Amino acid sequence: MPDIFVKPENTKSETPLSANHSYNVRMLSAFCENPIGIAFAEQASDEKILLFLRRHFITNLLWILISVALLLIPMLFLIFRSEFQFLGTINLPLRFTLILLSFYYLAVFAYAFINFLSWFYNVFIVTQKRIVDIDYSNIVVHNVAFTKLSHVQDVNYNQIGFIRSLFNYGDVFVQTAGNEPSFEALSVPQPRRAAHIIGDLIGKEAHKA
Amino acid sequence: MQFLFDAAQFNLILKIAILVFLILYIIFSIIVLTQVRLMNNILKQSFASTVLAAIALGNLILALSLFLTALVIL
Repeated sequence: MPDIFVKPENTKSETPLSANHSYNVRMLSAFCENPIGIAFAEQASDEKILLFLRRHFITNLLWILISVALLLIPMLFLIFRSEFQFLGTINLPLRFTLILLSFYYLAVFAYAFINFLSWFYNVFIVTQKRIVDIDYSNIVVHNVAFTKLSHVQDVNYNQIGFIRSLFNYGDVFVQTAGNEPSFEALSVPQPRRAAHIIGDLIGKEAHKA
Repeated sequence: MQFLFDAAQFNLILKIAILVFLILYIIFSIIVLTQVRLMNNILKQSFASTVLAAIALGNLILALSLFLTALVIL
């Protein structure tokens, strides 16, 4: 007797997580599902990280360009020193010049390093139990926030602008119940995928803001 | 400045200014190292955490070396 309805066997749906694959989080990773090689404080022994997010690396472009420009300034000054005749009245001994130049390069390095740290330590982690938002806005301010997945009410994302569409990054917003602060992962790669994963974990469909 | 002071006075003032800024930079480097260690306890990423702590420590050592060099040669 022929079947009236046969469930197609090769139905492909977007799985919430690549459950069978784990990926090693590299130093410059910004999006990683089922990451390995990473842990956070207060992580329970049976708590598995499902999603790891950081700002897209392209968001670092500005400070990288500024750092390169700052590195080049002394060299440009040497090349075009004939244009700076008005500074000829200041005759610093060589030892002063060397120390000042070394200090200048150390300061440029510090500028780049602080910006890198701000990018590196700003992470958004989703486990099977909760969401962890680690904010590191500058050298002396950091904030770590947790919320249980059961407290999450809604998740949405936006991806506005040419650059964001080109490099496929955007903002993911996680709204929590009651007086708990909302969580946001700004400028993260693949926001649609990230929102889909979180939405699936809380049992809701993610939607575009 | 050079017109207000003679060369020796100008160099002395400049030396003191450089040393003061280097002391401030050393304090800043210590804060950076402390923060990196603190953040490495919050977020443990096997290889990267070690590299960043080493870079922060290297930065502090460079700053201290520069301060001592400035103290000696200036």
